Amino acid sequence: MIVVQGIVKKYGEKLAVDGVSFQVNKGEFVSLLGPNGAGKTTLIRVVLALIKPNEGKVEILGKDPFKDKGVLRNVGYVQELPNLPPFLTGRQVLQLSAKIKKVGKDEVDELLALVGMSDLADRQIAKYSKGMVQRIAIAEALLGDPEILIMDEPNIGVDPVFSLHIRETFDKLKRRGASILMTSHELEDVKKLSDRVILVHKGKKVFEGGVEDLVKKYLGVIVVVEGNEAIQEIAKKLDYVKKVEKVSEGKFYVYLEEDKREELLRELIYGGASVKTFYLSQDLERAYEKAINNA
Amino acid sequence: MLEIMFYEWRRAIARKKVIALIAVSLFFEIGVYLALYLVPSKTVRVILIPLYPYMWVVGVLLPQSLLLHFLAISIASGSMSEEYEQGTVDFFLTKPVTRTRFFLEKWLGSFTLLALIYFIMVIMALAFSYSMFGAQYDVGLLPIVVSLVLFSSLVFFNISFSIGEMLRRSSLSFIISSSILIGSLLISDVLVIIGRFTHISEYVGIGEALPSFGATQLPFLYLANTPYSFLVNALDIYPLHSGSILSAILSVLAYSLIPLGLSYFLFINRDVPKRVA
Repeated sequence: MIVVQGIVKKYGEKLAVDGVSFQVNKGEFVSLLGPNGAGKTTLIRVVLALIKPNEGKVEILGKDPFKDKGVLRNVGYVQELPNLPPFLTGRQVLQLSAKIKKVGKDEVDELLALVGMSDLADRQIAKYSKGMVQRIAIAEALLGDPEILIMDEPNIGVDPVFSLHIRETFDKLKRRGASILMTSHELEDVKKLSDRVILVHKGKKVFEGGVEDLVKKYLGVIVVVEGNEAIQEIAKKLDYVKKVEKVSEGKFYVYLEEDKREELLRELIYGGASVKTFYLSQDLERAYEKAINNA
Repeated sequence: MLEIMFYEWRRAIARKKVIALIAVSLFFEIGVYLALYLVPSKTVRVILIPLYPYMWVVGVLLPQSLLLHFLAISIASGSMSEEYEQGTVDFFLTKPVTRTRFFLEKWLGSFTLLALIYFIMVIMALAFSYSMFGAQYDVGLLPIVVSLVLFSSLVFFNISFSIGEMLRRSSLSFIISSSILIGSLLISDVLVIIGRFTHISEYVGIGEALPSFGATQLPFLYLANTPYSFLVNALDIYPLHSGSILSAILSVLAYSLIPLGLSYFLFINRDVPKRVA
């Protein structure tokens, strides 16, 4: 579990983080969102005891990482554009990390296989592509089966197949009770992985909640309905429907005043509409954009 | 324990600048012995023959004048700073590694590497002097001389290591430390000469207060009153002997501990930035 309380960080006169608090519970995946320069990386570096805050405190598994570095044994960290010792091979990086973390060496081979780097493990980091370095960094972060995983833009440079594969690994880790904190601009990943998102802008927290809540807050309740034209006619007559927008042939966005999805579905079916698909829109991109513009 | 120290060895050896300086130092060592052995002039040989039993001193003291300090600067200037430049400091400090441990092991790794290179030079010196010039005398002094050489090399090693940490730039650290070494040597040489000619002791005093005094003089002062002092003086980069062993020891302590302490304090208290471009 990670607890961040009232963090304030100034660089000279510039306020990089302004009183941000949040926590990541056991078995929870939390994404830290925000535009470049919002303060996400500073927050992550504060959590990892790399940057001392001017105010506030951080706890990892109930301990202050500034005072008890031992707690970082249970933390895996994937750096933004990982900077690994360029003169070491991928395997040597993992072996060095295993020694420092006091983890058995047998895990090294398992993790290299997990990230698909077994055959390339004896090549120097300097000779890897960006995506390969990222894979090694992810494997390194997973050493010792950490209780806390912190990732700063872990998807930079990795291919979609690996992205999908590693997503499953994060999911397994989460199910085993790990707390995961990630910053990312890949909103599709955020949507698929996150239990909660925290949106920061100009150093301040502007939103905290589920992806659904973020969309609801900034875009309202939008239901995507696919079926016949009757959907539009029936929905328009309902008093809690703000508007109906035809997106393509047989596909409609129904904007609701409040979350009355069940009633809407019932009315559509009783009204004789043919409904093939019915789901709440999670247009995170648009919600994110609106949240930032409003902030 | 000591994983970071061994890592530091690898890191330093991976640098071409360090490898080039090691190669130059070793070739220089070989070259000097070959030159002394193959000297064609009979007159010079007549002068050298009484010194043959002390030829081990040449190889042991030769790097001390300048090469060893450059090697120390070369190794130490990148020790901390390159971790910031490459962003690899995060790799260690986001693990169960205290800042004190990281700092100490980095320092220890760099300095033991320097010591190891010097030991290789000493072994070469012994091998060449025994094989080319026969039995060697006073070799019992070797441990003390080697210790004094390494102790005095701490001055520019620590200055460079500390500037690297303070500025977080390896090239700046190398340039500034080298400039201090060369500048200090030149200024103190001039000051000592002026002091001797004018009999104004303040000049000599200022010369002895500069970092090059303890760094370059300590082993020479120790061997100054030996039967082979002629050989010792020939190897000395300082123009005239001045000062005492105690003042040289104090100079080494002051110029090595103050910067190291300051950089340790800064390392413990400063934020660790993202990769320094």
